[in-house]
Amino acid sequence: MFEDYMRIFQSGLTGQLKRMTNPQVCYRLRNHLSSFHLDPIVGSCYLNRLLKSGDGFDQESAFWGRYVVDKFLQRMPFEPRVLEVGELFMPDGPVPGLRALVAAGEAPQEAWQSVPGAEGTPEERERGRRALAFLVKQHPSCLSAAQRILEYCRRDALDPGRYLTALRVPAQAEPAWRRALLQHYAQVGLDAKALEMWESLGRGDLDETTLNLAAEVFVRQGDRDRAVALYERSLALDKLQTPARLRLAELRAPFAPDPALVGERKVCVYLYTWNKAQVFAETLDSLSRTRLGGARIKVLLNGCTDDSRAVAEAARAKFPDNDFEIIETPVNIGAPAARNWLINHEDTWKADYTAFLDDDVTIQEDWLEQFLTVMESDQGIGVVGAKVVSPETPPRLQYLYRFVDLATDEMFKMSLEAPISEYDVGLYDYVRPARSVMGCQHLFRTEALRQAPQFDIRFSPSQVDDIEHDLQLCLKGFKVMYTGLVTCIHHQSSGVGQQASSMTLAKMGNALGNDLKLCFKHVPNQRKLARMDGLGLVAEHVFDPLGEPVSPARAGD
Amino acid sequence: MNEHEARTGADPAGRDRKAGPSEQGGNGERPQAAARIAEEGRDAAYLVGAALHHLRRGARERFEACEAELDALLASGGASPEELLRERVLKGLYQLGRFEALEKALGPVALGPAANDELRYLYGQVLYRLGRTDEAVDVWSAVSGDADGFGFLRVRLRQLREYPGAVLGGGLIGDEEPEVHVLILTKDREPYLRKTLACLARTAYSNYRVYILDNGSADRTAEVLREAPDLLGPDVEVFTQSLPTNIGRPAGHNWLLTNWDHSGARYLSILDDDLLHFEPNWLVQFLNTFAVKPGLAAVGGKTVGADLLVQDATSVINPPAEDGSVSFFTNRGAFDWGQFDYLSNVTDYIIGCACLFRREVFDEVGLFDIRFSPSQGVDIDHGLRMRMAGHDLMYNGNATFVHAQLTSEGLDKDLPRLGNSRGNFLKLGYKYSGPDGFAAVIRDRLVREREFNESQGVFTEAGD
Repeated sequence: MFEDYMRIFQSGLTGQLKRMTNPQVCYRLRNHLSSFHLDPIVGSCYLNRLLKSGDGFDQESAFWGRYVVDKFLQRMPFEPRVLEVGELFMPDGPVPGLRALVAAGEAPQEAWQSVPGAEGTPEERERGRRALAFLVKQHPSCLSAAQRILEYCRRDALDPGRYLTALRVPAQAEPAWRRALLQHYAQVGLDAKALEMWESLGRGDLDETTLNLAAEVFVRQGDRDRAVALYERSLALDKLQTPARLRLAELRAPFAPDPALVGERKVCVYLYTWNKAQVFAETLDSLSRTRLGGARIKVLLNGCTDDSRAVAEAARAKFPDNDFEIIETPVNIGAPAARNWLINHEDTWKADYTAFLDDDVTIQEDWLEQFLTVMESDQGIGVVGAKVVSPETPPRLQYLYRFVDLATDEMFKMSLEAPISEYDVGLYDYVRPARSVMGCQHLFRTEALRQAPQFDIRFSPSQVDDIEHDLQLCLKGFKVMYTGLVTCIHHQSSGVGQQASSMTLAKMGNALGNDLKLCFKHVPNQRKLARMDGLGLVAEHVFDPLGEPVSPARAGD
Repeated sequence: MNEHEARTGADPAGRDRKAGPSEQGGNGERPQAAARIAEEGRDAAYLVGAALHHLRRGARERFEACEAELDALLASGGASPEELLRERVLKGLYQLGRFEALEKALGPVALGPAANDELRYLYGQVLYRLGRTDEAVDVWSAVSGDADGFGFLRVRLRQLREYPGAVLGGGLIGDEEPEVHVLILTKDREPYLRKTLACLARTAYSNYRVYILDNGSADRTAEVLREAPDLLGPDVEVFTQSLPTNIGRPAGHNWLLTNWDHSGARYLSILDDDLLHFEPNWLVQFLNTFAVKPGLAAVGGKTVGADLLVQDATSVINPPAEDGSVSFFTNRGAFDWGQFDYLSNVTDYIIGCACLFRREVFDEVGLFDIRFSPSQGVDIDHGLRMRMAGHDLMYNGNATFVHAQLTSEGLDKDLPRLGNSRGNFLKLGYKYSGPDGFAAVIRDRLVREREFNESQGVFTEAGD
């Protein structure tokens, strides 16, 4: 059992999909789509799996195969191999023409050999961009290379112009190329250029992916009506886009936080920190610039040996209206134990709500009133969380929300926390239910903590404990809410490093060990967890492509 | 499967793992039929079986009743020597510590013409357990040197001569008692903690202080903490603290190590809170062990269950498995006939529930790693770090600790807990997967093992 678990777990999405039947794959994809727009990385995993359908294409998997190819080509219209597949699925549209154009302009195999992959360091990518620019110089109509340049520039949020001077786009490919450029500019925050592209595109040239990104450009321009219209057009093209539907609802009727709640509700704000004095000072500073009312603040110095004590003491003056308590432990007791220590404080039970903040975040001025307003909308909500992004410009999505991805006899796995390698351009700025939200800025109802008072110390020193606590809440019937209108800038990713040094192997072991612990802790709850999928959360926003009613009962497929 | 169960049979001391006179003995005999018992009264076989049965189930009153009846039977001579020497009875009497009765029953046979090495060894062991060491040595010297499975006896005899202080713990080597701080972390083990403290109170040593940390207990542990100064007597200084929440074993031990000033102590001992029995000379045995080989970082004992089945006796790691996790060989489940009662530095780590550290070791290799919270693998990780830092460790199996080991009880049937255990051994496997990790530890151990076997358990400077 454990051996199976490790094999499946380590095989990643691709390996997991391989073991699943077509209906299971389609169900999992629909679950994903109920949370996120399809990014090219996740999309290609599903595409590869659906193309290898051993039992042939049934109606459902054929539908989703076409769907994924279409979405992929909207993002990457000049990908030769996907175009080939696209031609099979969509023989009547523009795909066959594009495929021919891409094939005609393609550079010979050997021209690609000096191009490093996109996954390396920024320096490697810069070498890649130069190599690609050189390749385009030799082969000015090589659209696949131009697309690669866009992707390499997107990773580093660059304007691709200087690498594309030699590019000659064939006239028939011009709309697709402009869409790609518009998407690129809209993603990396070059809004003026995105708008230029927008003007140059005909109305009939637009796909839903471009429309969504353009809509967010107009939101940033202050033109919400235009954004609403674009999202409406997008959903007319593909009504299966749950995030777009939620975003449209938000744009039509914006969520209105109630600032008075901050003064009316008793709130505790808890932080714990371990030897990050500098960034901790910035976190406290950020907290002090937010509207907290009379919230009681408690800071647990988790065996700090640096200046954290002085930082905490100095911060006291920044909170003149707040009770500010400093708790010190002689050693690092780990994140879950630190949380429990704070929760065990009698003040927790006197408050209406308790927030936890990581020690390395920059937070939004009105976060508390936003969270409180969400909380007060439904007494069944146990926890509310934020949209967590990286500190870069433009910020990357670090953590949105999760649902239960797999709960079978051999595996329990939570979903991805966000689409892979995407910027925060506003696509997820809405309030919605989830199964888990990020633990670096979240607010608990006191009753929820009463019923689930323990973060599990088996996940020490950190990782998974916050997810698992959310699952405890779900199992007790509490709702989990994501508040995408509250952005939390998280200065350090606690995820597993990608480098294969021995140091990160130890970290990887910690993460794998904790995932395994999570899986087996909840084996007894497998059936209940299987119902905590993504689809069941937003049923009213999900449309079944085959015209059948969608019901959570299908979750057990 | 739990942390101590082995996948392969690495045997550091080169002894036969089947050692022990009656190891092959089955437990196939059922208690006699009720009718027979009603007619003839309860015999020794029945009483021994029933006593052990109740002991395993923690039915204290029924256990004590069986014990009393057994003792009365033995005292009245109502059990024949033949009956007592039946394998099951003999083993049971040994488990129950009825050495006088065993001595009487075994003596004539073991010294007679029909004796074999197993009986001779066992008779010697019974004498040894009765404190009649010289007689035991005499009997043991008749065990033929080349008999299979008695390699350990050669080591024991040799070490008795070379290191009587560490083996017997009769008196401290050196003039002055070094200061020892005993650290006990406890959570929800009120009745067990009382037993542990009762044993600790009988420690034949005066210069020690006791620190007890209550790790968020919900039972009546606080009461025991209040009573601890009385339990330990007026000569022992006791420090206690109760935490509002359980911080886990590694953080709890780190708290014990850092929250108080231990700079006055030369040695720090860690004892578990569920030690059911240990002898008063445990600390002298441990302290004397440091004299056996200079530069030792830590010394650990042997742990057995109440049924004398070994939990940990000379512990070694196995090479990591395919999934990256790591496992161990600790002689778990063997019946303790004394075949592990020797000193050995072959061990890769020492068992964390009864051990003694040089204080400075924690400055050198650091504290316990909280990634192994709440428990499982904590002491193994720390032991491996001591090894990787070049320190030598010593197992002293002469110091036996009867350990409830509640953390492992029922583990194989409890998936959440089993997952925790496996998760920690995955963490451990990955943590030391590099060439300086397990590979180096195992390589170095093979060198120590060769030296140990060549010297028959005498520790020389050559290996340093």
